[in-house]
Amino acid sequence: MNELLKMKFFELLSKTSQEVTNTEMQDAYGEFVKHIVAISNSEDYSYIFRMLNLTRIEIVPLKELYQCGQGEKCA
Amino acid sequence: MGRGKNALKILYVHKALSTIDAELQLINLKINHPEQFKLSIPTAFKSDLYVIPKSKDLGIIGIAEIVLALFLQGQIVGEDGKPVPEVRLARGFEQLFNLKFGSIYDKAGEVFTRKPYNLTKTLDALRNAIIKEDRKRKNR
Repeated sequence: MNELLKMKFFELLSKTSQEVTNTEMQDAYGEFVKHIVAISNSEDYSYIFRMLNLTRIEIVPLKELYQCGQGEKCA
Repeated sequence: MGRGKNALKILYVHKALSTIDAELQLINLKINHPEQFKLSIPTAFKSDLYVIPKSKDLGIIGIAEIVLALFLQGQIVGEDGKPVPEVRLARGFEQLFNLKFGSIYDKAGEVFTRKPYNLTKTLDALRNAIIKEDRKRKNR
């Protein structure tokens, strides 16, 4: 179970049709970073590594999705 | 970076990836150079409290059960007044009772693998301790 993926930040990023305000994104991102820092403070490195990698794996496609939508070069 | 309607999301996707990559690099450094990080561990608070290992109604899963209940109830908040994530609550209990959950999510998962009558074993034991004390006081 990856708590990071349940956060508001992901919800905002995942809804491709939804318009979001800068404040909304900023607040959600702030919470996301706090949670990452909390996870990283653990001493279970395998767990941290796994959680961060799983989160990264979910974010990369979103990056590609949005960039392709903007007419940028798609991978 | 695009300037269309998704520019904001793209910006934050980049920020999130940079944050994650920085944390991954930090773990790498912690693994390869643990000696460099020993001094940076906050030592302001050192608890002298311990949980008796494998005690009947408590133990590490019992503490995880309490953490889980407090987290789900959502009434423990951070400085910003918002409910804290489970992992932060767990960290607090780790410091208070000098224990290590490893992964609090795994420990919380173990609570849910209990049989239904044992699901809230620790919370029930705590409740019963107060009821017992209440009876004792009223019978004085």
